[in-house]
Amino acid sequence: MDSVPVNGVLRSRLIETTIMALEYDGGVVIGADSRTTTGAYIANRVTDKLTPIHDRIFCCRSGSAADTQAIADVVTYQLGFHSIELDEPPLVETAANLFRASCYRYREELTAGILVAGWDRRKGGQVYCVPIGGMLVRQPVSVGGSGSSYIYGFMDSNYKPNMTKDQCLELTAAAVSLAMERDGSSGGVVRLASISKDGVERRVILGNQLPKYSTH
Amino acid sequence: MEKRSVDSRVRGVSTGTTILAATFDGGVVIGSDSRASIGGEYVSSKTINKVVQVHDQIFCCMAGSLADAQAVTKAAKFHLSFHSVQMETPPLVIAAASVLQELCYNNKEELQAGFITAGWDRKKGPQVGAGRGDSHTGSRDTAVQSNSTYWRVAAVLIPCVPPQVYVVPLGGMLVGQPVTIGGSGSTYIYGYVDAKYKPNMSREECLQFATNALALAMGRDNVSGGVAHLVVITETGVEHVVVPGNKLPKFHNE
Repeated sequence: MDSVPVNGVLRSRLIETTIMALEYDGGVVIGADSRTTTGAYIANRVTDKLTPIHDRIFCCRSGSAADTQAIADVVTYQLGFHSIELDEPPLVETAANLFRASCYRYREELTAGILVAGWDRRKGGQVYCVPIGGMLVRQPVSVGGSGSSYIYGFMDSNYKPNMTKDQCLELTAAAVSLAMERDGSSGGVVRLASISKDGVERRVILGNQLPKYSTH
Repeated sequence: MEKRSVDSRVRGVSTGTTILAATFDGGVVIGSDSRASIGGEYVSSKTINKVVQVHDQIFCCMAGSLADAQAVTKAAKFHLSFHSVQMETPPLVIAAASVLQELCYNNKEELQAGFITAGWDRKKGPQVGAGRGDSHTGSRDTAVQSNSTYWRVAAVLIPCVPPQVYVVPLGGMLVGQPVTIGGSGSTYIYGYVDAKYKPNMSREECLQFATNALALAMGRDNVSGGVAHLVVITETGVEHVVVPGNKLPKFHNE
């Protein structure tokens, strides 16, 4: 996380992070590291970057901590209202579009890279990527944050379509651990969540339980 | 290493690149992609060979400014052959890496080039090393432009069995590593290399590992591409393997 003095005040950011989301048949798995930094100081070493937006829709936040929290709050409100009007659970695509609308309209002021992931009855598990700038694209697997650069190769080679939920969880844990090992700005614990029609299951993998890779 | 287009007219062709080297049981594989670009916008060559032979069983891979890298390897070849004549024996890999390091370090203000050195010598068997010298004072980088941080420190990495570490502050570092990756494309395969590399693989496993790693990096880095040049160096000799673009392994999203 780098601090950028804005009007002379240091703001905390979590742009250097690792977040990930993948679809499987029946739901999605999301994962993130847990470090928020202000300059070289780790402001929060147990951050929860996986934020619930609705019962079966989550978002993974990267970028400015303040910006992403504000956007997530706005979208949570808008989506909740929309869902009450419709009298049924909202679609993941709707949530993703609400994120995109805010991120694109205020693109000059915001620094937010968001992955929206969830389950709905119409299309099942879906992952939408809303990077900095406000694009929207659906992808079966998406990574974000500074630590993500290091795991593109790992993801490309290890992700296969139609994996089971447990395989997805293992892959996410492995990938986020690898990124945390290489990226100085990602670290702490690995937070995982899986979302399906039956609900949301969250788990945490502590630092000493993470798979270890580097032999060199 | 990727150059910003503002500099490209002054600095010329650069090899935004992916280079790697890995030791296996009995030898070492060194490889690279084959793309040379100007400012990340124009591919000036699709098929350059960045794996250069500096001695019979010692090769090096170049990254960064192509002109700088070629000039340095030419000088290194000369120094090494002179050295081997004087010593009356083939040079050690560490000697080759040190020659490159000295050239990079003494000219660090002018140069923008990095190297990985790999080979086989009788004393220590297969080894991989990397030498970097960089005077790039680029501004704030993103993950894609990570070259500027990556190459900011001139470093010579020499993987040894067992690793020996020599630290020379401000532009000369010696670290032992059994596998090394470099260039702009290497950022994308750190996770893959960390997860997949095992010491003492067989020759075929290592070759497959190196090909996969290059293919993955070339798939994500816009300034790496073309064919994969690989060289396998063992006690018995040297073998070149070229994997054309259409024969590279494909992954799920292609």
